[in-house]
Amino acid sequence: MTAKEFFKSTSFKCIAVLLSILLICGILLTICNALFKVTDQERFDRVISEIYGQSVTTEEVKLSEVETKFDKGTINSAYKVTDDGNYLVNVSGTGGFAGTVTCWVVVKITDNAVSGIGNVIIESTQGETYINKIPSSAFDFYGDNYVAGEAYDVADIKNANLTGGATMSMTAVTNCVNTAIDFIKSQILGEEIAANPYADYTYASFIDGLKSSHAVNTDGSISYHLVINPVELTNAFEFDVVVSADKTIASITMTVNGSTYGFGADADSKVSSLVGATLDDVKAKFTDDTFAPNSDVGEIFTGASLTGTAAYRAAAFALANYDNALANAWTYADFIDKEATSYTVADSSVSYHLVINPVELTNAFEFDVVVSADKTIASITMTVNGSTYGFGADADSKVSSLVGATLDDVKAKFTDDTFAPNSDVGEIFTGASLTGTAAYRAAAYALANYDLAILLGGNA
Amino acid sequence: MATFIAIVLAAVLTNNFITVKTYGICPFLGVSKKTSSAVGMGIAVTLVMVLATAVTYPIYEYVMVPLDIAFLEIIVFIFIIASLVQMLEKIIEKVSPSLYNAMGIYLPLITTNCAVLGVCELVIGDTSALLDGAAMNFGWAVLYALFAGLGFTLVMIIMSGMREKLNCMKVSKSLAGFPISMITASFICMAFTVFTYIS
Amino acid sequence: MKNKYGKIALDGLIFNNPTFVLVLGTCPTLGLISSASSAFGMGLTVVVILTLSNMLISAFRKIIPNEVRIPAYIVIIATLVTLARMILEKLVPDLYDSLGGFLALIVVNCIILGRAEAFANKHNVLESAVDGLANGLGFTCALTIMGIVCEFLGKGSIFGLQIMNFKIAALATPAGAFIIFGLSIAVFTYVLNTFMRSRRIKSNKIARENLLDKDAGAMPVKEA
Repeated sequence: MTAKEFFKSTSFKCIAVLLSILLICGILLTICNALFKVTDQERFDRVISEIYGQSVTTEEVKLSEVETKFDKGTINSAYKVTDDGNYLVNVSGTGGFAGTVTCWVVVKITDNAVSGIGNVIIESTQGETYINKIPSSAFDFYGDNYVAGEAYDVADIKNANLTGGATMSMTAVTNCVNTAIDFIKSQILGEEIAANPYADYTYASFIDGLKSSHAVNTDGSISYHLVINPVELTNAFEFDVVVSADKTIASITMTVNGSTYGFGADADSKVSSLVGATLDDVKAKFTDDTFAPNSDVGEIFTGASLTGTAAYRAAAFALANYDNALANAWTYADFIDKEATSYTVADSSVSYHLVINPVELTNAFEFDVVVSADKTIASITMTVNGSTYGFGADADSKVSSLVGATLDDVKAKFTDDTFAPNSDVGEIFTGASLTGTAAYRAAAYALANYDLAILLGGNA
Repeated sequence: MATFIAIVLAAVLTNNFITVKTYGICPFLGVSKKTSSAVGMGIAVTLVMVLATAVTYPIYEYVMVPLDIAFLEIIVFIFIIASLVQMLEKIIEKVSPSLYNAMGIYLPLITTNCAVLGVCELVIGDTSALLDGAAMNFGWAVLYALFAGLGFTLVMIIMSGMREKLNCMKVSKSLAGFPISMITASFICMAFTVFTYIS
Repeated sequence: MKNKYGKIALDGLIFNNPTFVLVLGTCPTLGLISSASSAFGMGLTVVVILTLSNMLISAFRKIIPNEVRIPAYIVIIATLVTLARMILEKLVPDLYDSLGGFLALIVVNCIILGRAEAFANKHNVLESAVDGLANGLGFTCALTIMGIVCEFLGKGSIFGLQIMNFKIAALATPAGAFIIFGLSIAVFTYVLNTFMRSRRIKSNKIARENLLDKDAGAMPVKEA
């Protein structure tokens, strides 16, 4: 076939026509794309007009300088609406049915504090097929029921009969709203968010750290009050657990049963079957550390494997964290430098070498303190004076005035447990209230932890 | 492994192309009169879905997105699918005439099957629901296409079985043909809603 | 000539209704009739795309070689769909969201390629435009009617307006869409058949009367 024939052939015609159609279509679409492209700004304006019905001026919050990841959600973007001072937060919440839910949440601000929740708009619901079942009144719930300092609870929304079978999607939305509030409070307004005291503990994800508590008893056992997070479809459970010094469960009772549909009705009595169990006993019921509910648990808690799982999780948390709980039981631990501090026990008296953290402007202090069996200071000397500019020069001798003091005597000098320096201390330690405060803190630490030191009987 | 299970469950049961997404209904209603043809169509669709995803996903992800021409996706995808189907038909005809007799006749119908374009569009879109939150990549995309195709085949086979039985029944004249097929299909959909309770 | 356009229009709207008679474009139908407004929006989008694609294909029918006509049609349709998608996303974002994946799938909607293949490549631009409009409207009407029924029974609302609290949630799922689509086809076929039969009887009667008239004029007509 010659070139000339080729140009006259049907194949050439086919190729030419197809290519020219493609070319024309491509060019046309490129032009239209430039004309009709929806910019991010436009998407944002749509959200604004849906919420406010008019245009408002906004100021973007720079997220590079603040924390955006929270326990139950992530902040994608945040804007301050300059017209009314409220914040508009785009946040993704976890805990949904199959994916995450992304919402726009309006956080209302009055007098520099969060005063409520405005609109909540679902932006995307990746895979949340049930979210359409949520009535719009469920979103009003947040605005109508804001209580300062309290997080929203999905169970509350459930009680208002609003979820319409979309509990898990609603959990994700609730996490969005709570995260938005936490974000505004902690990162924008600079308020302290109660930190989860159990964040570093083993199995910390099983429990609601802010609602749980524990105490060390004088016999070396630890009493926990644990709020167990919902297991799959249940609500939260609450357990009172006592772990004895040999790391077995001494007692366990369920105070709140989170089981829905009454599956766990007779589970209360079965919880006590865990008494005497060790951590290994509990772990043996599960294939791995996620403690996923399984039929093995269901056999013991007949037909209530979720309730059973919650009980096992409570036991596991209590047992696994016995050492953690003891180590964190030291009172006034924030006064001292734990690494540099040591103590010994002899003849029911405790000798400490304490390194006291700097008090306001000073350097660190060091004290040697001996507490006798009647819980009074037997001796106290300052080995390193952390006072700057020599204010505490003559304070050394005054430290000994603390000999014979009880914990109550020491506490009486301060208005509260923070042991903030005050003039009362300054009177005794003439002109050296910071040094005096350090001495009092050392005494308080030594006295308050006497029982624990005797119990542990050695260095910790 | 969890992602693999999530993909299999989502593609075959909870997000089945026919019963939940209503993609690929034309061949579902048109080629489900006999089980043998349903199987042939199902396998052909699965094959094209896998191949189309394997070609379009890398082109979209590594060529179109970096060049900022993602808006041309429909035109590019449909062109790729049409060419692919044409090529596949020619190859099968040449290599295995017996396979061509069994499957080839369904191939030309597949270009305009929404299931194929549907799966290509799905894997480049919002996919966290398909993958249980994991990030989409080439392997998952092809795997998803494979299992979505198998889910399609499964429902095709169920449907053809029911229609073969239906042939022996007396059906009112107005309901005969498409209406009764659709009501039959509705029962399959209802059965499949049970799987949405898997979480 | 007017009669010709009337016939094309009636064919598209009723006698060859793409949804009820030819049962084409089933995927978007089943996927979207759970909401009347998205069904209506889908219908209108298809009307515009179908009319334009019919006109374009008819205009270029002499240029496009027969061998590559299908790829060429698909490219033209895909361009129109991409355009529609851009415009909807820009101007009607609510509809864009509610149509979801089905917007891109208009490309493989058999009605559009079907009309191109069966009509537009054999007729002139004006006829093709009427055909596209009629078929598109036939599709829209079918979708909207089923959308209203489906949404009313499945969600208790019409076009998003809550009317009653009673609802059969299953009818808002694909299972319900299949049932309603199936029953709609049955009802439509029944009504159409009844109408056709009565028309046939009527026309037969007229023919017979004509014959009798001619008999009366003593002019017997014999057909071969």
